[in-house]
Amino acid sequence: MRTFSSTSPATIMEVCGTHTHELFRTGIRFSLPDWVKLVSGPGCPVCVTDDRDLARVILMAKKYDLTIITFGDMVKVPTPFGSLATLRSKGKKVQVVYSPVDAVKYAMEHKDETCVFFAVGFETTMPAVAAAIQDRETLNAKNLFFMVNHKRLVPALQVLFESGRVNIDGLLLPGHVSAIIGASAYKPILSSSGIPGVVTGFSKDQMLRGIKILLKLIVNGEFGVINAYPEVVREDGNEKAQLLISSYFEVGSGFWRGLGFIPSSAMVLKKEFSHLDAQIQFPVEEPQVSSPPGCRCAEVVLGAADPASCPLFASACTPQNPVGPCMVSSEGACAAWFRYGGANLHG
Amino acid sequence: MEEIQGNKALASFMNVRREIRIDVVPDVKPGDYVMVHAGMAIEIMNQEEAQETLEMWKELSDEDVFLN
Repeated sequence: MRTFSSTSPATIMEVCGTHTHELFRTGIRFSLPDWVKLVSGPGCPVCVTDDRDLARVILMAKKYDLTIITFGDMVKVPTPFGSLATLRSKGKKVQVVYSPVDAVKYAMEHKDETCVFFAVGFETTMPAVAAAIQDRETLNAKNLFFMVNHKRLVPALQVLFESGRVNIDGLLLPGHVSAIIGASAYKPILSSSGIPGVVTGFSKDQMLRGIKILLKLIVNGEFGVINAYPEVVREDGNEKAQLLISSYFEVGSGFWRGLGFIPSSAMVLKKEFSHLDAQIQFPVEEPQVSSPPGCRCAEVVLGAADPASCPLFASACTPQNPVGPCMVSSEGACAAWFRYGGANLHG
Repeated sequence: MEEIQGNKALASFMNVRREIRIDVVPDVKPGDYVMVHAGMAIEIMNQEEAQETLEMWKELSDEDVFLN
């Protein structure tokens, strides 16, 4: 049996922006014993998007006079080339949608515009983007293209474990991603790393139950994956969603904020869809990017630094005037710490 | 979930109705609860689980009203 203390706590990482937020909002984060530490891992899709991919979209929009369509959280993320919000303030069209299929509707209603949907997100978002591509093809919306920046969670977790940059005793696994990929998808990496993981939902009771099961596994030195959210997550996930995803996407490589280049960590458009691939249709020079001075987002997304340890946190960087994506996105760790007073955890 | 037509359906959530896609939950029936992400139903939920989720969102929305 392993023992933990306030100076050597059991460290649980959650890898889902909704968990990050809800663990604060429900008060769980403040009420756990001092021998349990919660850290946020790479679970916020906007936060893990590399600046060069967003910068590429901005350069593309400028060079080819494109309308950019994306999710709301992406718009305010700053890069050395500005943000989509600054692009809009300079007269370019930036359209926010709730659902990727709304991008097809927009393109059909604005045939004089050349539109690019900037798709970010983990496995949870991929079926919706695949459906939008399906609609684009069926409805022949020739003025709509896709800049696909989808991330696969499991390869990133593997790189994170192997990097040795964070010591994790257990993982609280995300209900939404797991609904698609299935609880069994984590087994190979968790078995090889000797870390236990528990798939859990988002209500207070579900998160507490998940943490309790996880702590038992950690203390007993056991590993493997427990599915504590069987109401929604099946062992093999949603096979219909996996099939829809694989109709349009294939495994590729990609850059992650904080983790760098990771082979097989992305889903990219299949070659037969290169006619709608914005990266191919609207080429731009590789943007040179660097983090804003002082910004620790690259460490925050890995759980290697707490938001409050960033010199910009709650001073130069706030939700109203964010410097890094972890403060921009409502799913970001910095935004959650700011809103719920997480800095108080460290006095 | 309300009306279903092909791969689309009308879903209501906290008094808002909107069209969603049901491509990957083809067995869904009117009256079922679904988990929706980016306008797409990704899994069917049981009633108890759905009620817990709705409660969570209601609390969140009440907080937003308070904070704003």
